[in-house]
Amino acid sequence: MARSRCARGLTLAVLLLAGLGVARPASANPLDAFGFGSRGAAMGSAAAADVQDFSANYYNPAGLALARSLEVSLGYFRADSYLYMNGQNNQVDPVHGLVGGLVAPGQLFGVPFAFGLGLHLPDQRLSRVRALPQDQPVWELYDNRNQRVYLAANLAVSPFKWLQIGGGLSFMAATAGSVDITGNVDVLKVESSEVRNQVSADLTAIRYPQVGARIAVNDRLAFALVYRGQFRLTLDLDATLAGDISLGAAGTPLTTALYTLQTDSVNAFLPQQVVVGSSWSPIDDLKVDLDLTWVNWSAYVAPVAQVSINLDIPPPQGGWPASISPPTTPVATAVIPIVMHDRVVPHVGAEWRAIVRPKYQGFLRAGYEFDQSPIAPQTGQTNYVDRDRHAFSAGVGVRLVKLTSVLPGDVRVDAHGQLSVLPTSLTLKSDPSDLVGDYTAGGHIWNVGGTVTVGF
Amino acid sequence: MRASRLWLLGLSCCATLGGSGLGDVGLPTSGVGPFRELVASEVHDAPYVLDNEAPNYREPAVLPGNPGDASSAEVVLYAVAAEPAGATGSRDVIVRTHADDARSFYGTSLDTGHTPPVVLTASAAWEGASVGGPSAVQIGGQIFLYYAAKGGIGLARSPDGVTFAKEPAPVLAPDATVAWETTTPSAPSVAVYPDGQIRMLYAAGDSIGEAASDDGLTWHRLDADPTTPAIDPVLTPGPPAAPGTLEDGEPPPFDTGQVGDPCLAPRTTADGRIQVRVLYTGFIGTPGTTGRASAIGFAARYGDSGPLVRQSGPVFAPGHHEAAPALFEWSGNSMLYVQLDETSTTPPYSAIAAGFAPAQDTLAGPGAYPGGP
Repeated sequence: MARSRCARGLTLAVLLLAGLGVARPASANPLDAFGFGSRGAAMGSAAAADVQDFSANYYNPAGLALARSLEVSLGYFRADSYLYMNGQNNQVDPVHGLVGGLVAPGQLFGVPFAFGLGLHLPDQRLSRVRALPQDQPVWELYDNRNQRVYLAANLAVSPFKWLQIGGGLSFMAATAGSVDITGNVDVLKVESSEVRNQVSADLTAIRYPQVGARIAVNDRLAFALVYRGQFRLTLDLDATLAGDISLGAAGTPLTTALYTLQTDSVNAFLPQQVVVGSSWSPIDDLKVDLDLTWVNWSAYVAPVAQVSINLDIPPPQGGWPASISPPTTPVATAVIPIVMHDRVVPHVGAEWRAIVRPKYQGFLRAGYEFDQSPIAPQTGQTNYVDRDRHAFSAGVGVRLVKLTSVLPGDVRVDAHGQLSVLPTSLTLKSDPSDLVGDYTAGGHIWNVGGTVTVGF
Repeated sequence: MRASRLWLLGLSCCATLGGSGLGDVGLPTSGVGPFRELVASEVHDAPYVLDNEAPNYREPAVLPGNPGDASSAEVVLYAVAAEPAGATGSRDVIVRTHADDARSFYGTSLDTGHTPPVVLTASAAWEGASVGGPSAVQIGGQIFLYYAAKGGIGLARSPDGVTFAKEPAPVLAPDATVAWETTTPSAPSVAVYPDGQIRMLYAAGDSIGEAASDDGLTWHRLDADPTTPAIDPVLTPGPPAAPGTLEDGEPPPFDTGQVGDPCLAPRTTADGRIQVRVLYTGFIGTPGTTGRASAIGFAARYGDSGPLVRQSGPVFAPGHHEAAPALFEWSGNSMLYVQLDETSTTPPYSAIAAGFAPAQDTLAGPGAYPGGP
């Protein structure tokens, strides 16, 4: 008994270290907006206290410990945005790709234990890097942040029947690169210029933690608490341009120019989140789930590049020819901070086991999520466009029991559809000479997908 | 056969690249820049749309060529041209041309054999020798062509935009009681507001003033600041930068010497507010300064009265003494016509060039020159 307690304590310590000690600030993922896996998406992402498949890697790692057999899941989802400003479709990129993962349960020193992997693999682009002018209108929460891969690995234990604890890491990649250009520039015949360039870039791994706990009050009521860490995805670029400036191919160099540029930006930022969830089964075949997610949007860092430029072109002997106006050093970007407010996002979902047969079961699901826009009204120079989002979802599922002797576990097939409505409203500019001016913004997003889970 | 199909399927799945991202299509804009110069692939003689050494085309004004179709790029352009020296010496006249694509104007230097016809010359004693500063607007089925002359701002009307009948006297003459008008009113720009009001902006001294009319014939000056007893202009030269306030490399304000050549372009915003948009020429040096730099600025206000608020930087500044902006909009595109100094010849001459917004968009190749003006 003493050994068992020691093992439990050791496992907990390992999990906490894995979740907190190794991580450093890390970026955004599409799962916050569109859910992970068809069951969770259909139930409005209200799943923190009611999840035990691969999607627990996102919703609540503690749920992995509830798994009783090895499961492998694979699915696909597609979210198409129809977002408009002034009635014009801004053609925000769709998000689509594979989702999947596995859950591998077992015993560790007699304690139920599980390992999980979760993956969202976009089939269009793994990551998208954009640093736009801060006055350019952009759908800040839908344009770029959702275009990225998501990978999470978690461990979970169930030290007591009523308690599950889990945690792990999610992984992202940040970009750092440099461009060096050297050579000779002929100002009279640019095509005769000779330049050489060298490019190097690194994708560096960024990790951020998630931990969760689930407490079962009884067979019909459970609560959950989940923490997801903050991360920022950076884009750091350095450029150096050094070379001679001459008049004519055979001309003596007039002068030597040096131009250096350093740009640092946060390409995507995922604020830390705390989820309080509950799951209640008023009758055997019905589950009603409620999650409240606190999102620390006030810590958000806008993806605007901070540019530092140094331009050194000493005048040639005798001064510049009258026909040449040497460039001057551009003014450094003055970044206007984005103002965002913390939000509590409610998620509600329900699942009804509508059909119960010896060989199969059928499920109907529905959910709702309300995301109040965290971005302050854009009355000034910046244009981080966002609107409140009402997400209505529904889905169906089938569980096939012991389908064949090759598959002793269950086979589950789930599908979902989600409609996010962003009511159109006005953005009014306080400065009449604003070059963007007043605009309306709103639209909707369709999200559909399916997931197949095979148990062994 | 089956194996080859599978191979092709595998190849099609594995050897494809994801497309490039979007998300910035059809973005909202005030339609007034920033503008970029047209490039060689967009216009026959970039960046010029109407040039010829002898006529020295200047001070463009535009009208939609097809007012009932907001997607049409057909545009009519009036400009000042130098008439060859006659018995009474050279003088400035107003000519007319048009383009079907907003760029290829009848009678420009590459449209050989054609010359934009003269539609207005000075003929009354109050006008002096020349007319200039045209502004064309459609009112009640007629084209009203306002122009600047020695004695003030005149008006000529036409049913077809080619043959004009002048009013016998200036519609806006100098008023000695208006202290800031140290020169005769000139460079008129007239527009009909979305609610039907007719307004005129004009240049005088180093500032821009405003006048109103019910019929386009009788005008009275408006006071931009009713809290003072005097009639005030709607836009004055910008204040110079305070010492030590400019960042390294930051250019000084571009319009501290004079503001002029207003181009009035009212519109209704998405909220139903009237936004009075004004493009203008900003000069760093005061009037009379030789070779002073200029750039095109933007100022605006919400509502139908009061002073204009300026954008801090210019919206078009290629650095060739750009002046006298005129704006034409169609299908979310904005074309800015300005006069530029062409310095490749001696002496330099003026020609009309164009800038385009949204600056990140690219126009298809230019069309053919039209068969008539």
